[in-house]
Amino acid sequence: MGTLWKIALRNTVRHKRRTIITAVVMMAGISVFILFDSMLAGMDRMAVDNMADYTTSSLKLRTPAYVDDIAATPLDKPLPDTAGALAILGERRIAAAPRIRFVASVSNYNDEIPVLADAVDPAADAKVFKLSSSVVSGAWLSPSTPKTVVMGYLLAKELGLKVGDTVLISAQTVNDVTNADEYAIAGLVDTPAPEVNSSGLYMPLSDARALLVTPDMPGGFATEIDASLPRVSSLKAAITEGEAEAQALGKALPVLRADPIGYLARDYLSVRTAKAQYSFILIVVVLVIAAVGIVNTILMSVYSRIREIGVLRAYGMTRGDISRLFTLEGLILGFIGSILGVALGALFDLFMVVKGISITAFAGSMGSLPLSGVIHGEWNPGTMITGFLFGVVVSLIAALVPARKAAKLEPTSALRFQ
Amino acid sequence: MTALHLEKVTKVYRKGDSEVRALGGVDLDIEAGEFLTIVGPSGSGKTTLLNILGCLDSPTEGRMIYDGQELRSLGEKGLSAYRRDRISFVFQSYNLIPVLTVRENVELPLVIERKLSNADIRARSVEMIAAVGLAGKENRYPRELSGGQEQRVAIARALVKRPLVVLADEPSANLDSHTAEEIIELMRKINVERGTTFVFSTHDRLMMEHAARIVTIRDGLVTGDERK
Repeated sequence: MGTLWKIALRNTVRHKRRTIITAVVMMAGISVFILFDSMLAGMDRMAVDNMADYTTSSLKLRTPAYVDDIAATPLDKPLPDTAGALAILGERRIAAAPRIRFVASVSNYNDEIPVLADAVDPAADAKVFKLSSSVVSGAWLSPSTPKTVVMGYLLAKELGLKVGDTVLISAQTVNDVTNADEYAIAGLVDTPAPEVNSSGLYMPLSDARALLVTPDMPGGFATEIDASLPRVSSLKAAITEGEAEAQALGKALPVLRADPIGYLARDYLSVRTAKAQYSFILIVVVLVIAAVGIVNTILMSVYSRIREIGVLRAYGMTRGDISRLFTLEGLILGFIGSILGVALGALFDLFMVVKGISITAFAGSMGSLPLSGVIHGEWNPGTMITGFLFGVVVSLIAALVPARKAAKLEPTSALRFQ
Repeated sequence: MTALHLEKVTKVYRKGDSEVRALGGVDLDIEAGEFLTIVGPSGSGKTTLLNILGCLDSPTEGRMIYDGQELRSLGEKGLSAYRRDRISFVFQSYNLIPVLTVRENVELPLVIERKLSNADIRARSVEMIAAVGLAGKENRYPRELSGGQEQRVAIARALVKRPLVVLADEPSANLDSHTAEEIIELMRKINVERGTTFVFSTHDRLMMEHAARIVTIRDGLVTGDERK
């Protein structure tokens, strides 16, 4: 076997041009796969982080009945003891804020737009969400300025409103009758979450309780508590740790349902699975091209060494030995291409992790995905190992065809070959 | 002692509906230690006979007994094993492996044979390289050698495993007359000193002059067998 390796390795080195071309194709395929995976992981991370920061939070506490009826945004299934739940979260050192989510209608007295409004505790909410730091005009809500609202800048634009203007907000009360009141616009927010910009409406809990005519509850009327869990190194870890925390809270607060980010972002994450399949299809396509290159390279090697095959057969090498010789050449090519691919992919990854790329220019084409700013990649050793192994296995399979062809040559025909 | 015995050996090649009778019933005994030349015009069956003697091809009919063993029953793997253990070749175009050094080329038959330790393989190949007059050139590659030197390496490669017989297909055809004479003398010397059996096909008058026995073949039949 040592001599077969020696002959295979030296032939790979001897035919530099063929080796370089084949290795470069493989390198391109594997490195692009690693880069795409890193970018997709970064996009996922950014999207899920933005959802946690601007829309869903990283963990929600609601009553099971509320979640079962969530499409109706019911006000008759509130938290039974908001203060008690907040106290338990406080004991676990988890930042949390109560909210009331309700269906409202925003009017500039000419036009009205239906929205899903959120009533928030301005100070506590700022510890869970980043809305307060996304104010681009005016200011975030304050207990000292009642009857004010903050809205998404696109919603204000559509209604022709600005900070300081008055809007009429109407909503169904807890008793299922319509109530309305006027509020001054305290500020406008511009966030990476498109839905917040186009339909986000926020008002203090005290104003919302008055508007919705809510009953007195321990700790105040709220339909949910949003919590912020500490950031961890990867999305996978965030999902795992979120699930663990939700389970622990579920035991501590058995009357409530704790939903972690993995559940809250489930629609996005299912789209992500489809994206991962696209990236795998990409590597398959590129490596199939590389495989054709390897078949061609080894076939050229077979044709240029037919007499050599004849000599080796004449000296007693079996068909199996000849097949192994050319399979080894394919394996060496695949190994070189895969190593270079992983090395280049790691460099791309390094750039993505350290510098990242700005997607602000593409923000318009991102649709409803909560993405903007600079995407940073994520290291994924598993992807590098997958890319490497896939490259080697594809090379091995690609080399089998010409290797078999070489093994089938009759020694007498091979020795006669000119 | 008879090393190779051929009895009524025929070889028929089929191409579509037509048949080409390359050998028409050859009877031949080759003694151990002979220095034998097969001569004949082009297309007479010399190469086919050498291929059959070398177990590279099987006869259509007839018996082959090598060193007391009937080879007819051996299959593909058996013939490979027989070639590996008992037969060596010297080719007209040397056919050295270009990516292996002189020493590695000479070691190749022993490596394929897998009977000796690495140290013994190296020792025997270095000894053989010295025997063909190429001591000091062990680490050269074939492209760094002259045609005559390449053929010497090919002879060393053929002899290193101490075969029953060395078969050579026009070994001097690509060499100038001076180098050809050197190569013939080298093979003759090894034949005398080591008792190795050599069988050549050739058109070279010089080789015929050195041969101890000349077998003439024409239209696939042995038409002459002259011993000197």
